[in-house]
Amino acid sequence: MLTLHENARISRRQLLSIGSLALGGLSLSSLLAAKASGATGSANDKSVIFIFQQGGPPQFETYDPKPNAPSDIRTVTGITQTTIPGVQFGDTLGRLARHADKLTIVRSFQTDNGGHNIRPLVGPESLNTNIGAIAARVLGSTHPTTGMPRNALLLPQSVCSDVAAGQGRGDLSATPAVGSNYAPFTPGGPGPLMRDLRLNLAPDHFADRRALLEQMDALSRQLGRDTQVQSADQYQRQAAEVLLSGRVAEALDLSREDPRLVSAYDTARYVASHNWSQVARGRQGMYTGQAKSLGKSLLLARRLCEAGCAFVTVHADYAGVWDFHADGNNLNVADGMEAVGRSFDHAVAAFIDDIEARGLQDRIMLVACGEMGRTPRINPRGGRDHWGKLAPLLIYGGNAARGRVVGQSTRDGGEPSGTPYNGRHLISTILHHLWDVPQVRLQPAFASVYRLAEVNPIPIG
Amino acid sequence: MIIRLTLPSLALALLFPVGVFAQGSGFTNDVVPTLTRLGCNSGGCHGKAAGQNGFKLSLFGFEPEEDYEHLKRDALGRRLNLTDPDQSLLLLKATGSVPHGGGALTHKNSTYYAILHRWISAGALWKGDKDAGLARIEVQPAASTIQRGGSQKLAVMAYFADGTQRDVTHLAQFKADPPEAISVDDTGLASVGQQSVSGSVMARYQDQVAVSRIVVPLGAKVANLPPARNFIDELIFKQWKAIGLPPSPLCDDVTFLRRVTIDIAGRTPTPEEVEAFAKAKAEDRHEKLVDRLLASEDYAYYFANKWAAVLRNRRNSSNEDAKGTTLLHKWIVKSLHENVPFNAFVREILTATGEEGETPQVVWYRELRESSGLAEDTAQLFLGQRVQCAKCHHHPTERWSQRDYWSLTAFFARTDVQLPNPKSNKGMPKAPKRPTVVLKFEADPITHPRTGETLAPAGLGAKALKSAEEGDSRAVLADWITDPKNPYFARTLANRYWKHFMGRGLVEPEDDMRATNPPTNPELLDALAKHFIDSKYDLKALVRVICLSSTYRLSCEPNKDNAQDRQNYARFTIRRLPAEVLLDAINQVTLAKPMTPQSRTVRLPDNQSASYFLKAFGRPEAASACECDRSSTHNLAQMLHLFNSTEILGQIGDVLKDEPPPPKVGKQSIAKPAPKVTAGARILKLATDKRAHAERIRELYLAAFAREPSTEEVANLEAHIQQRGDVRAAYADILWALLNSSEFMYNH
Repeated sequence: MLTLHENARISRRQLLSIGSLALGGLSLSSLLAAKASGATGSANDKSVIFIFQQGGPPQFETYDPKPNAPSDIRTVTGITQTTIPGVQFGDTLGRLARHADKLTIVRSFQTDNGGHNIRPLVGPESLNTNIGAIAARVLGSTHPTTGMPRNALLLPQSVCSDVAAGQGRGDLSATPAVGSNYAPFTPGGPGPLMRDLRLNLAPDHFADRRALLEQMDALSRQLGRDTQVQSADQYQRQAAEVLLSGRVAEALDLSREDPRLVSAYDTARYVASHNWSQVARGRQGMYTGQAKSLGKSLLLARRLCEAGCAFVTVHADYAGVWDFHADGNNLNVADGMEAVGRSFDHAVAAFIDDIEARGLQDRIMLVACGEMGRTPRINPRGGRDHWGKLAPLLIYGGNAARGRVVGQSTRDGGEPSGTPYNGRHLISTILHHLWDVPQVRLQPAFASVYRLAEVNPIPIG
Repeated sequence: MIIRLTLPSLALALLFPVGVFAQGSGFTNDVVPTLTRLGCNSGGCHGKAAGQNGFKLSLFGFEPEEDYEHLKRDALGRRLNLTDPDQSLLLLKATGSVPHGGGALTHKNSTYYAILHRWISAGALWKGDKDAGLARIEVQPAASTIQRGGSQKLAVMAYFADGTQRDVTHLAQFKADPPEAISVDDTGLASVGQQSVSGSVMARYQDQVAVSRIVVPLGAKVANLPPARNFIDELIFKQWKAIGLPPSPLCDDVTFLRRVTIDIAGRTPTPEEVEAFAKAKAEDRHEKLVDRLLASEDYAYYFANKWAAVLRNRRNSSNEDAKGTTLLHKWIVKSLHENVPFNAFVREILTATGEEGETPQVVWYRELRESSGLAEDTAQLFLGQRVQCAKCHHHPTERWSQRDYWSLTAFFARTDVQLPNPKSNKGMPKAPKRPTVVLKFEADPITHPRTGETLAPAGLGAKALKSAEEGDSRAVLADWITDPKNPYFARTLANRYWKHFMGRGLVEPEDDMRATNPPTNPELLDALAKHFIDSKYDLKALVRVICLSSTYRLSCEPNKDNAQDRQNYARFTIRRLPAEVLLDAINQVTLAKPMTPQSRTVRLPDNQSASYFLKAFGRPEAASACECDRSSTHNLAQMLHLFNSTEILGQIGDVLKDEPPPPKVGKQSIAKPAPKVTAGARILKLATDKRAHAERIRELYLAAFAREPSTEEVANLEAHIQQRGDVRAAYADILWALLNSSEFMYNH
């Protein structure tokens, strides 16, 4: 029988002081946090915001319009000159064209995949695990001082209560390689979760109770060796950190932003009154959901990153808003760019304005791509179909160069004409931004993760 | 020069022994499997309904005739160049010699290139002499024991209608399960890691599947087995010995009491029950306990909760639905309480006709409506077969074809589900006031979606009825399903109940009993099914035999050898209390709400009450036939709620600090604060109790953990009370800690 005497009681102060280490467990967070603790605040924390454009955005109507190609290939939307000399975008992306001197555009990116799934965000190249979960595995499931989950997923419902329920394809929260504790935290909009996030007890009192709970668990049945119970314990520790720091509830509260900034981000103006009702996805409210939420989602993503989140997935929650087949389910390319491209252009441009104003461009990296690109040839209905050989990829911030076009595509926009880059290169790029790769290599527990970063990053620097 | 020519072919010959290269290539037996193996006809590429860039193949090559047409005749015949086979678009694309969205899938020196090339050279015939129909395949060996870290080469043999057989390993596809413990490469080499496991490798060739079972033994010494109380123990012990997996010892009596009360009655035991059972000395006290629980209404309500969810006893928007759901729930409770044989229970559902008020099983029809949905749920619920995929294409890991799917659907072809439709009442004088099932005068013709052939009703893998059959063919379906010879019915139910009590199905998930997902202990599953059939489908008898086995009574504490095992029941598999049971347990311990049997959450008839607690803890929405609709995992939201919600703290009786304004997201503000619960009755009772703290603590432990506290536990809490000063506040702390402890949250 285990005996624990009065003097073995864990004090509140002890509990608080070991909290951050205990939470990280085997993770690097204790090492990294200890190292960073000399620095003030969380200025060393790096973050990635990944806008996953499910459906497969077209390369032609975004960053590679091929104005000199035949009319059945080149962009259907017309072109616009960007702030990089000689570089043009499809003209739906007019705002981004004016920000091009801050962007890295990859014109030689391919996903090697022509079907609807959620690669490279979750796929063989990511150990079938949400990239954010991999980040959380290394950095710890929550931020050691704020309690902010390191991995978050924002869906339209996270910022709007009046959008149709989603039906995304693939499990955006998949964590087979690292365990469910690192699955993304998904704020669900107003409701009990938001209420539960604000501590209802005095912090000292709450910490005392946790100490009592630890003693009770230690003295009672020895269930602690079971992996389920260990997972529950870890969630309890995470919950305690979230409650004691209060930063999560604060970060989720958009009303703390200047209303002028909220309105600068807001993309609800792009909801078309006819709601693209000629196709099924429009009737189901999918394009509406994207347009209503994307701007606010990016603002919320920035707030989460400021509070210590390392990876935010932004997803429309619907399979294929970027799937422009013109087949009755989906819009044609021209209408699709109006329905989806406009809000994307606005939201990302507003995000860049904001990040530049705050000087966060080195800390936060924004990545936007889908699971594939679209066919060079426009189909008879004015759509483009699936294409695995070339996909549009935008990177902003982090260590990415400003105003750089990486690689080029063949004359028909069908594939890279030089060195191709794929999802593995992109994941490595992301991991190189998030942490010091050689330092992670020294930790045997992260061998599989290290291998992901051994692939050459895309040369964006 | 000579060496250069022979080396590659020698290597290939070594890789694929049985005369692959001596033969020509047949279209269905070589070319289509090659396209499958290279991934050309997968759902993400040319296999999807619309094809890819103008080239369409049938999904996984299940429709070779169509594939032949697309290859031979479409695209002006450019895909095949009979005079210069190397210039065939098919080969140029596959090798990436011309731009191909799917990239380079093979190279010119590969076996696969050779197969395609040979077929084209020989004239690209539809029916060559190598195209005998496929009868079945086998993976050899069918079962193997692989030592940890070892590997085993598997071969796939195809048996053809003309009596010939061939090694098709190089054309087959493999999939290992569980993938984290077993891996298999393209050549059929299965390798295992250091984990002891029961698993399998599935092989697919054309439309046939087969499995090879793989056991990776642990090899520890097995001694001190508990007494074998029935056939379950005998078959489980046999497996432990074979694998070398020593079990944990039996648990103590009060642990058994809490465990079996939760599993049978869906509630935690009362302090009185704990005290009585701790004192009981009779040899048959476990039998008596199980019998008492099975006779109680709690059993019927708890299992009705389970069945109602998968039978879609669902209230949608209107409260009109509640009339039906309440009645269906009542019928399930009554059937279970009276222990109606399961075959009769299923028959009443499958043959229900009439109006919801008289025949509440109509609720199931109301939710499903379509004959195809009724067939799908029937297959999943009662046969453990997930046939949904076969609606549109042959199931890639199953034997069921579209013919099987639509033939099963044909049983419901006369079933007419009529719903009240106030909006269009004018034009539809027939619309009933309440949902109603009637039989149509004539069955809707059910046709094969591809061939157009009219299909007569047929059970899965069974002979079709004569199409001119009179009467309600659903009765014939019920006959076929509940026939003792049906290979799926009893096994599916036995596996479902086994999982309820043991935490893991012999087949997992419990309603996916396809041929390619073999049980971890096939003999035990057969024996449980036989027991169930021999007892005339007596559900209580099945519960009894499981709960009275020594296997069910093992401690959950692992020993040094069985901690990693999840498949062989060598220790009790702990699980979090289901949402409803946990909420009831909290109410029972806090005494904040009057707890009568009738007020238990477990007894709610349907998914009606919008409880955040139940949602966070994974109560199913009754919108699916799958038990997986219920979640038993943990998440951050649950912990925040138990730690900190105004609901739980209020129930405990905490004085909450001033509530801040609710946080906002976007423009929406939080709806309304949770209703305040008055100070908890339990802590008031404890604070005003005049007995010594040790007595009060004991009462609390009996209520929360269903056991006596240890001396250390009492001393620890007495110290806390003393240190806190305020007795009421100290008990609030203790109650909070109890509710958040793993011992409370788990069935162990």
